[in-house]
Amino acid sequence: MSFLDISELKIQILSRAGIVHPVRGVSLQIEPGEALGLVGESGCGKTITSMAIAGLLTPSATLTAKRFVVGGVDMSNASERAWRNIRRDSVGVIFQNPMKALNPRMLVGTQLAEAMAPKDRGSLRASHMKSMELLDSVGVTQPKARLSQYPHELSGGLAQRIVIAMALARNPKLLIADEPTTALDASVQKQILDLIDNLRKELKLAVLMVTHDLGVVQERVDRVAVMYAGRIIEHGATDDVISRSSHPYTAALVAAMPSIDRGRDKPLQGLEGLPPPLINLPGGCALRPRCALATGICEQIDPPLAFVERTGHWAACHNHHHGRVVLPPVIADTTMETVAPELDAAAIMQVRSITKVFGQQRLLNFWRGPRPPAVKDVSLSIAPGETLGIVGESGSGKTTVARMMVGLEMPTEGEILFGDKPLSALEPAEIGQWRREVQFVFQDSSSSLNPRFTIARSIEESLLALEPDAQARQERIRKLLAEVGLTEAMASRKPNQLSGGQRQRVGIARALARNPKLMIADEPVSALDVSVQATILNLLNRLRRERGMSYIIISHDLGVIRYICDRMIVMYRGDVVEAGSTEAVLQNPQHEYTRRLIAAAPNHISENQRSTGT
Amino acid sequence: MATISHFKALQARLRSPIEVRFLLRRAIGGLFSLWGAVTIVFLMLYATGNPAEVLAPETATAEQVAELARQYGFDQPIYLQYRNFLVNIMQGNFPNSLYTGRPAFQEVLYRVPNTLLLGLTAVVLGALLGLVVGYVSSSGRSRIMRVVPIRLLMILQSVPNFFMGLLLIYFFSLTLRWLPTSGFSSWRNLILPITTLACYVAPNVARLFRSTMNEIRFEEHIQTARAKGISERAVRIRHNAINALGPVTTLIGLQLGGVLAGAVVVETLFAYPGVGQLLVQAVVSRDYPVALAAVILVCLGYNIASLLVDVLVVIIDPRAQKR
Repeated sequence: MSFLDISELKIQILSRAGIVHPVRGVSLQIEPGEALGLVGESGCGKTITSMAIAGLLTPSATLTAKRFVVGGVDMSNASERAWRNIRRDSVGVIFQNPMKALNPRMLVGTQLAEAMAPKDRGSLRASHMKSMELLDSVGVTQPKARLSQYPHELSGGLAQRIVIAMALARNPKLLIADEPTTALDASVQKQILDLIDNLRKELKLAVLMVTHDLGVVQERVDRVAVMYAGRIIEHGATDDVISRSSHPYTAALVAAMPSIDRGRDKPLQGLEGLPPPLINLPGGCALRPRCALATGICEQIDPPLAFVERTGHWAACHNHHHGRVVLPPVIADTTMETVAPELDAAAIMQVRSITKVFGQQRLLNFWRGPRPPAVKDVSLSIAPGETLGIVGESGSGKTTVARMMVGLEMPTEGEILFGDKPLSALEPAEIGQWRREVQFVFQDSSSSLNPRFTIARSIEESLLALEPDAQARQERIRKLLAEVGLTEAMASRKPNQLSGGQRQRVGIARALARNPKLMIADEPVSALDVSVQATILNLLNRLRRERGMSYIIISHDLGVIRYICDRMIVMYRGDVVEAGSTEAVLQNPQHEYTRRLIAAAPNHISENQRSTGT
Repeated sequence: MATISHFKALQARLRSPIEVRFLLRRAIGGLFSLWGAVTIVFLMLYATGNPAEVLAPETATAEQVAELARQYGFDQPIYLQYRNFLVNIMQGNFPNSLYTGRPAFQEVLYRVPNTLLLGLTAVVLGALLGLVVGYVSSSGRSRIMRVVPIRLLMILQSVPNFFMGLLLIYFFSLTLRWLPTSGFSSWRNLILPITTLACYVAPNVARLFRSTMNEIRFEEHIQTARAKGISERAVRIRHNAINALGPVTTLIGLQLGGVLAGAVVVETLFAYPGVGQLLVQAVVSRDYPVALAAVILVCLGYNIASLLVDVLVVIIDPRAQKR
């Protein structure tokens, strides 16, 4: 008997523009002790499906289902009170961002107590005992001290453990994990996934793992369901679905994943376009506009989820009986003839043993003592045409180094050279040259673009000094947009009318506007879906080939670094602990921390598994 | 609610929210701002020219003015005057009132309880009303509950302080003859001034509380709280409303300052014997020592209030302690 049994779940949300259908007929079963992965791009309805299972939909959403059974109770027409009982007694939820999922005003101990059954928090003593027990079970060190800490005093990984402890406080039977590791560092990610895995086995939990990253679910869940446009389009045993994808969408997701064991010779394949808006959806297959295999029948009939004999799992595609799914040929500009970096040429920029200590000594802060440096004695250089990756977890100082190179921070010690002159000794004309030739791309383009400016105006601002003629400026903007793969129609839009991937393209176009020789990109793809991430990485590669630019790419994802960088340095707590060619560092890591990082990288799909996808 | 006090007790048992270091830092900051206020008062005294000329009666001769200047030390170099000024203030050593002849500081202190009674009651009542209306307008069940009370308060806010007082006097004292128009003989004298001042406090509090609550409602930890399976009411109160109190507390503290200033108008209007009325009288009759003492006392009160508010904010939201 499945713990969770849902059939034909449909959700409708009334909005100003009409009725939105974020979930259009989803069926799921999860047994106790089983883990199901729910995978898809953002905007495909996976989070709202999982929230519906916890009864946490917004009041404006209405839900219908042929069958909706949670723990043997029929919930299809349940009252709010019944839902609360289900949440209290049988369902635990883990959220994406642990730092935001805890109430900033309340101590850890208080929040834990609140989640407990009345008998466990009957007295201060009882709740204390139970809290210690819970924290112990999720592997929190020094549980006693944690109880009297506030969320802002915890690290992300620790906070997520506490969120998990809260979810477990009443011994639930079902654990819903909505992107539980997306906001965490790679090394912590593995620990949290291991923890959920162990708890599932020990406590016989049914687990629903929602994620956009196939690498996260691989080897962690028994079955995986891929969602697109509010429906499940492929469903089966995890390894089957990943290695023998029957649906072009799944195949595309697999082909888009960067990985540390994926060489640069195997180009990533992005999936262009976006999931459709789930309002007034036309008939036929929802993937049709993005699918290279689409034929006449795809326009007329939305394919039902059907068992595919050949691959042994379920898929919703008209084409699966043609034999294996074939992806369109790799588009020309994603192929990779790596430009040999001109290492002998004079470096564009050099960093000579810089140190950065944040925070000035304040008059009233004299008792604090000196702070530890954020960056300690870091040196690096970047040659024309070269791509350098900086890897490290959050707080390792990698962003600070980049910010100092473009002048957003000043080093406390050491010097940074542009060409052969230190930044402090540059003449005004040379400062202009430095600011032009070294450009910065931010992680989150939605907050680095002025929301009131149109895209054209944002790019135009960078061009003002270079191109005095307005006519020529518009021409340049058109060319730049084309160069980063945006249509002219985008020029008049505001940032909030674009998708994350499109905004990141605008950010890149804005940097390109000044014809830089070096582009420093801080986590350029970490906020993006895997499919979009691949298209941006391919764009960066193409630009590098066409323009002969150098990059410094900052990332926590070794797969991204492997895919795009010639050389890499690994930073740990402000120190460079390892540096060398990407291949050499990844194949033969010398430092303990690098080895840990590689081991912690999400399980990636090995080459032979991938063969069907490409 | 019993559960709230239960969690409060647990929270208190686990850890005191206030750090001594924070208190110390804040108190030193408070001293600095008090010093600044006093210095500004000192400078203002000289902004109008020779203070002795201002103090002296209009008919006074040059000799009389010089005598006055000597008597009050206005003939000394300015840095010495400033030093004496500070020392005197620290010793609570003010010149006598030019009219009653009693020490100015005592004259003011004598009125302080009256103003505190008026101001604090008004702020507390106004804040309570504002909180209730703010909560209802954010979390009320029906649309009428969410819209009507806050709109009514908004209308109150658009009526100026003195006009509000006049309206109340006209309606309750002159037309209905329920309450006295002025004076200070029984608790009934307090009702109208308190209402007037509370009407000034409540709308601001209600509006800020509502918007902060509406903002917090979409934060992720609210969903976490719901996922725990606690009642919707507990989610609204413990996680939404109390989290929203931080900015509101700061506002109430500022309103307290506003009320001290507003009291000048209201006390005069209702002939209420408070510090505000005394200040107005002192200014009109050019009783400089009394005016000085009143201003400094008001500054001191404001400083203490803002220190208390900062401590309260930290109790509500511990992140405020870290900069």
